[in-house]
Amino acid sequence: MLFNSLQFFVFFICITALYFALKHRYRWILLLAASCYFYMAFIPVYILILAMLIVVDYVAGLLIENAREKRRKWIFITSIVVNIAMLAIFKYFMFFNSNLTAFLHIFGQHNPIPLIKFILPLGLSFHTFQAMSYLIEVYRGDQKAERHFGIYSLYVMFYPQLVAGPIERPQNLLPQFKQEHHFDAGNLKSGLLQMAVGLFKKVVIADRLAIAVDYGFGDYTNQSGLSLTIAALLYSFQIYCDFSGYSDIAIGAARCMGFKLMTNFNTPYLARSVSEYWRRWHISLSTWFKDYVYIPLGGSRVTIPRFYLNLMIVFLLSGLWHGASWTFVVWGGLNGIIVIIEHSLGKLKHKMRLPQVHSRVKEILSITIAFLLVSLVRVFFRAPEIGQAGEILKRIFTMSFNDVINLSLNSNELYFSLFLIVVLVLFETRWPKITEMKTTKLGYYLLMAGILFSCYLFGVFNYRQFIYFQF
Amino acid sequence: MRKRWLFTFIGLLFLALYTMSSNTHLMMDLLEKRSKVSSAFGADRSRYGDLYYMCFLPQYKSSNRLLENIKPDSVFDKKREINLYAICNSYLLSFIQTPKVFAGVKKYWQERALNPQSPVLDTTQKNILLLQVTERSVMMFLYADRIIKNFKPHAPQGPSDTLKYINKYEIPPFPLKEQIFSPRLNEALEFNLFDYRFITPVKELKATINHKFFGRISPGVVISPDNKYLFLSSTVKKSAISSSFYPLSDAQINKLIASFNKLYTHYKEVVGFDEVYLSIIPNPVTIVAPEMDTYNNLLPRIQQNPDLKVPTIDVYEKFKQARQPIYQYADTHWNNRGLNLWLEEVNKKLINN
Repeated sequence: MLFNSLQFFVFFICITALYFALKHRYRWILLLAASCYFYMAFIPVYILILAMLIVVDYVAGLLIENAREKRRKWIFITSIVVNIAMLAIFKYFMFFNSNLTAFLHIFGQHNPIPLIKFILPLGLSFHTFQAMSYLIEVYRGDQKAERHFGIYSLYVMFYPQLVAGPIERPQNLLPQFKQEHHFDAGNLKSGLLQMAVGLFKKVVIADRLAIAVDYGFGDYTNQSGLSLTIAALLYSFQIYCDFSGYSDIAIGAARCMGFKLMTNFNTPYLARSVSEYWRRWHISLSTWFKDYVYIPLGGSRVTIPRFYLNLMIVFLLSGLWHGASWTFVVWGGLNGIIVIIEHSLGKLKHKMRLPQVHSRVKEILSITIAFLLVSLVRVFFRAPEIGQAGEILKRIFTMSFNDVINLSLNSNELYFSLFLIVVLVLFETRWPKITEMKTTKLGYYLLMAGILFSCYLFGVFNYRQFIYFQF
Repeated sequence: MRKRWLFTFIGLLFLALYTMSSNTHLMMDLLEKRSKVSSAFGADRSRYGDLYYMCFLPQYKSSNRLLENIKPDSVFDKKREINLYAICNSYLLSFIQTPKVFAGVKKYWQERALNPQSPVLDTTQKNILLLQVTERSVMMFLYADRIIKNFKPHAPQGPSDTLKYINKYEIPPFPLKEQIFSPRLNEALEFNLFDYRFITPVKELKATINHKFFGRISPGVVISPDNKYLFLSSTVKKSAISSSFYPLSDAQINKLIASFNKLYTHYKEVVGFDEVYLSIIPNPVTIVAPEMDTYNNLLPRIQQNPDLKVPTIDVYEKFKQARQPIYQYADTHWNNRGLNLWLEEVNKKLINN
C-alpha cells in the first residue's frame, strides 16, 4: 500500500479513528491486524518471512535475557545469523551467486549453485535492522526482553514505519505501545500537517523531478554533459523529497495516534561537509551503523589507520545495505573515502594551526561543495551498472555550457521545478519548521487546504513507488 | 464517551467505503447507476468519452458522441434465418443492442473472446461466426488455443435449449486474494470519492494547467496533429505492440495468419459453423492520422495475405475513403456512422452467404 495512494488515505483515516474508538487494551490488536494487512497489500505471502523473523527474535530475546554468559552469547550470535541469513537469501543471494559464477568463469570452472531469482520482500532491510536492534539491546542489557508477543510483533510491524523506516530503537518504540494515548487535537493537527508536507514533497516535487531524471539517466548515451549534470543534481532533490516525504508521512501518521517516531532528516543539503551530511541524512540508519557497527569496532578511539578502516567498513556496509549491486558498494566506498579525506584535511589544518575563518561566503561555498560531491557520487547509486555510472560521470566532467538540455521537460516545467527546489530550501532554512508553527485555527485550515490543493493541482499522480521501498 | 462514538462512526464509515470499493461487482453496478445520474452527484466517467475521462481536457468534452441512429438499408427485406455468433469487443458489445441491424439474422449472440462461454449451436440451423477485433488488440488472436478453450459451443440439450442473446457482460467471481486486496481499489476509491460532476471543473483546471503550462497530458492519451482527436497512446507510441506504428515483422504476421487459420478450421470443420468471418476494425489513428509515423500496414498485410483462409470483412479502404468522421473525437470507439459503414459491409456478406 503506497502512502501516495487513495487506498492509504482511506486506510489511515479508518485505522486512526478506530484506534481512538477502542479501549487501550484492544488497540494493539487493531494496529497489528492493520499492519499485517498493510504489508500483505504488496505481496501477501511474504508476511510469512516477517512472521518467521518475529518468532525467532521474540524467542531469542527471551532466551538471551534468561541465559548465562556463554550460552547467552551463542543464542545472540545464532539469532543475529538467522536475521542476516534472511537478508542474505532474499537480497544478496543473486548478487553473490552471479559474482561467484563470473569468478569461476575466469578459471574456466562452472558454478554448481543454481541461479534462483527471489523477489525482494518489501522493506526487508528496514525491519531486519529494527529487529536486530532489539536483539542487540537485549543482549547488552539495555532493554528488557518483551514478553507480550503481540506488542513485540507490533514493534517490528508497526505499519507507518514498516517498509521504509525510520528504523526505530526498542527503547523508544516499545514503551509507546504500552502507554495509553488519549486523543490529542494538537498531535492530530501537527501529524496531518506533516503528512501533507510529506505528500507535497513526494507528488509535487519528487515525482515531477523523476520525469527528467528518468529520462536523463535512461537515455544517457544521447544526453549532453549539461543535461546529465542537471539530471544528477535534480536526482539529489528527487531522492531527498521522495525519502524525506515518505518519512514525513510515516512520522505524521504515527503522531496522529500519539506515537513519536525518530527524526530521519535534518536539512542534509545544508551540511558543510560530506561527514556532516551523513549526520543529517537517513539519521535512523546512520545512528544504527554508528551504535552497532562503528562504536563496537572501536570508533575513533583507535589508531588512525584503524579509525579509517572502521569508517570504510561502515560506509561499505551501508552501501551494501542499500542494494545488492557493485554500484552501491562503490557509492558507499566513495563516500567513505571522501569522509576520510575530509578528516585528514581537518587534522592537517589543525596541525598547521591554520586560522579558523568563519564567513558567510565560506559557509555557502562549503555547502555547495558538499552538495556537489554528494550528488556526483550518487550517480553510482542511481545508475544500474558501474560502467554506465562511469560513462555518465565522464560526460558530466566533459560538459560544455553550449550543450543542449534535453530532459523531457519544457522550459516552464524546468523553471517550475527549480522554483519548487528554491521553495523547499527556503522553507527548510528560513522559516520555522512548519510542523511547529503556531497558527490560528483558520490559518491552519487554510494552510492545509493550500498544501492539499497544490498537491492535487501540481502533483504527478502515477502511483510511483517510493525509491527506498526497494531496500 | 461522545468522542469515542464519533471515532467509531468515522472508522466504520471509512471501513465501509474501503470494503465497498474492494467489491468489483458492486462497483460495476454503482458505475452503471451513477453514470445515468445527471445531477451534480452523477459520474462523468462514460459521459463524454473514455479518452476525455483519461485526460479531462475541456476542449474535448462533447456529449454529442453518437451522431445518428443505426439503420442499415440492407436489412429490411431479408428473411431472417441466420444465427450469428460474434466473438467481439466493446466496438460491438457497447453498440449493438438488437439482432435486427444484421441482414437475415434471426438470433444474435456476442461475447468477448477470452471469456469462457458455451452457447448453444444447433447445426440444423444456419450458423455464422464473426471474429471481430480491433487493430490494437489483434495480437490477442495469437492465442488461438485459449480462444478455442474458452469459446466452446455445445449441441442443444433439449427443445428449450436454444441460442440466447447475451446483452450483459457477466463477470466471473474474483479469486479471494483479489477480493481482499483488490487491484482496482484505487480506481474504485477515486470513483467513490472524486468522480462527481461538480468536481469535474477542478479536474479540467488541473488538466489545462498541465497542458498549457507544462505541455503535458495524461500519458494514456495523444492529441492528433490537427488537434481534433484524442488517440489512445498505446495505438500511437511506436514501442507498443498495439500501435499502428509498431514495426511488425513478416514472421509475426505469419504467426497471426496461422492462428486465424487454426480458428477457422476448428470452428468451421470441427465445431460445425457454416461460415466464419474475420473483421478487424482499424485504429482511429490508422484512418485519421497515419502520417504521425510510418504505418505498419497491419490491416492490408493480414487481409490481403494469400495464406489467410478466413474470409474477411474489410472496412479499411471504406473507412479511409469516408468523407465524414467515423470515430468519436474523445473516445476509443467509432461513432454510429462508422458502425453503419461496418454494418453495410457485414450485411453484404450475410446476404451473399
